[in-house]
Amino acid sequence: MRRHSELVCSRANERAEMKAITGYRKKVGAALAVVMMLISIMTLAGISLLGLSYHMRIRAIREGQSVASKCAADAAIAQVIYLVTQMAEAESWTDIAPATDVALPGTEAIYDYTVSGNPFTGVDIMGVGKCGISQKTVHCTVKSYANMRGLTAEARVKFESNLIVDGVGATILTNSSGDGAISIEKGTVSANLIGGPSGDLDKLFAVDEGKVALNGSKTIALKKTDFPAVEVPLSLMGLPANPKPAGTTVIPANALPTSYKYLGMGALTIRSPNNVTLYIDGSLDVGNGGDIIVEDGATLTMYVDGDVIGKNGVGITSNVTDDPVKVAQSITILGTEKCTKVELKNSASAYALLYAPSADIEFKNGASLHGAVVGKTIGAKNNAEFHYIKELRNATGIPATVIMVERWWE
Amino acid sequence: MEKHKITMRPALTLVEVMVVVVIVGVLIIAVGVTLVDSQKTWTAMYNRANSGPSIEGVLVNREFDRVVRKAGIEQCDVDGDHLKSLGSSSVRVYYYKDPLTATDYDGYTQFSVDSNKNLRAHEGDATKVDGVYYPADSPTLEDGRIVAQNVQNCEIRVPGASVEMVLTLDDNRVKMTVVCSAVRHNQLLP
Repeated sequence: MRRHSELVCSRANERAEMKAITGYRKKVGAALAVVMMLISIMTLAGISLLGLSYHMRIRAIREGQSVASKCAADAAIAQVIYLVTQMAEAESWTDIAPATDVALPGTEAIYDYTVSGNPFTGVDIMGVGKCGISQKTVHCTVKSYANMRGLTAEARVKFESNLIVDGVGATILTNSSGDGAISIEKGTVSANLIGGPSGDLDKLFAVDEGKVALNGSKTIALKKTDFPAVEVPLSLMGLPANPKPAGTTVIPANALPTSYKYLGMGALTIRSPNNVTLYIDGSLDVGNGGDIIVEDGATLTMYVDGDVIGKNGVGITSNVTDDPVKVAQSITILGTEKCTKVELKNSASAYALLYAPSADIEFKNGASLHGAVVGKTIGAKNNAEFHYIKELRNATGIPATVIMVERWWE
Repeated sequence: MEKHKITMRPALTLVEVMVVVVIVGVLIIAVGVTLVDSQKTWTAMYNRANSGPSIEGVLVNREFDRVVRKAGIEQCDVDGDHLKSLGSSSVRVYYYKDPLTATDYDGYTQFSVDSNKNLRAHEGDATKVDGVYYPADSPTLEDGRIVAQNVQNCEIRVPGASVEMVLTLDDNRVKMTVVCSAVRHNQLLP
């Protein structure tokens, strides 16, 4: 015990001496361990966050690449459609060479495309978009179609009383973007309404919902629809002009020539089979109760340099009306810039493609039309009927054509 | 006896002790808050990246895109009605099952929110009656495979040729709004 107390006393003395010499006292430290522990914990937390961020970043990059490759594939298709449209407008078709590794501006994506076919039978396009490890392939078939979509006008469309519009794919379209550009007061309308670009969706369409049964959507066009003027072929203009016939003109079967020029026209019969083209350098006024009959198997194309009037039970039709599509496909009326008025009234009935972009077109008092119409304005009053025939989109010889996407798959 | 020199060091005042205690306390709280905050941030990020709504949102978008982009513009049924353009429970689009050979739309896909708040995708054959397309099998909202769960809200719009579906996915941990939008490209031309 003594030895132990001496030892303790000795150490105490040593510490006292050390303190006296250095002024410090030796202690057991814990700060370093605490700091190291904190650094370890914070490092682990940091690594975890970095790791998670890395995975999220990788996922975001892949999603971005997926979107970019899809956009690139779409851009490839859009590029080819643009080229096809340009060629169609210029009416000259040359094969489009395939493209490889075209950069999509603003992204790291690139695209390829291959093209085959032509606008008349169908252009097949394959677009491939690539970005990083992502690749998207889109196939598309486009074709040239007549821009006959239903009731189509450059300016206002106004239907005042009972109106019936139907037909698969029927559209009522105007380039006007003013308030009430398409106005329907009463009737049953199975058609999509399309207003002019930059219009106000809430004000473009004046449709009385209490009186109009509308079966279709209301949208705004992205751009104006182009309705080029009708140009009469020089070969027709140069023909000798016949005076306006007094009675019914009959063009016999297999008549030659097949093209005629008249200074006006009234009732008319085209015997079958015959494909007749008329240039009417005046008005087409069928007269009370008269008819334009295009017999089954015959076709009639009329360039009209004046107004088109059909009233009091006039018929522009065929001797066989079981197939409205076939009848409407057989009669084409093209109004030039001098054709400023088209009027069907008092139970007049017509099956036709009517393209008169400078004309104010009016249906009234029980008039009906099976086909498709393009005019400057379109109006209807008192029980007019319009039955759209979508097959008229296949019509040829119409100035207004548009390249349409026919099939799309990916 | 050897005389040791005893030095007297002045002690800390109460104020000094209190200041030291406060400073040390602040430092401990700061470190603690930082650690807790990092843990919360990590958990939140992890949930956002790997939770059901997050993963399902991506999958829904891809599925919606895949179906709608090949659909026809002629018809789109919203809440089972081909005349509606706004809805909240289902949207149905029609398409060519075989785009190379089909002459009319013969297939459809329906996205619907069932009674258990699941988003389902159901595919089937389509028929056409009087120019209007119908599903051959008359599906209900409960039909189809589950694409996403915990759908708290669904808004459907059909403006023009595009179809939009806005979903709110909420699994009580993460709430996400998923916007699906795609343009229908096909159309029946003569």
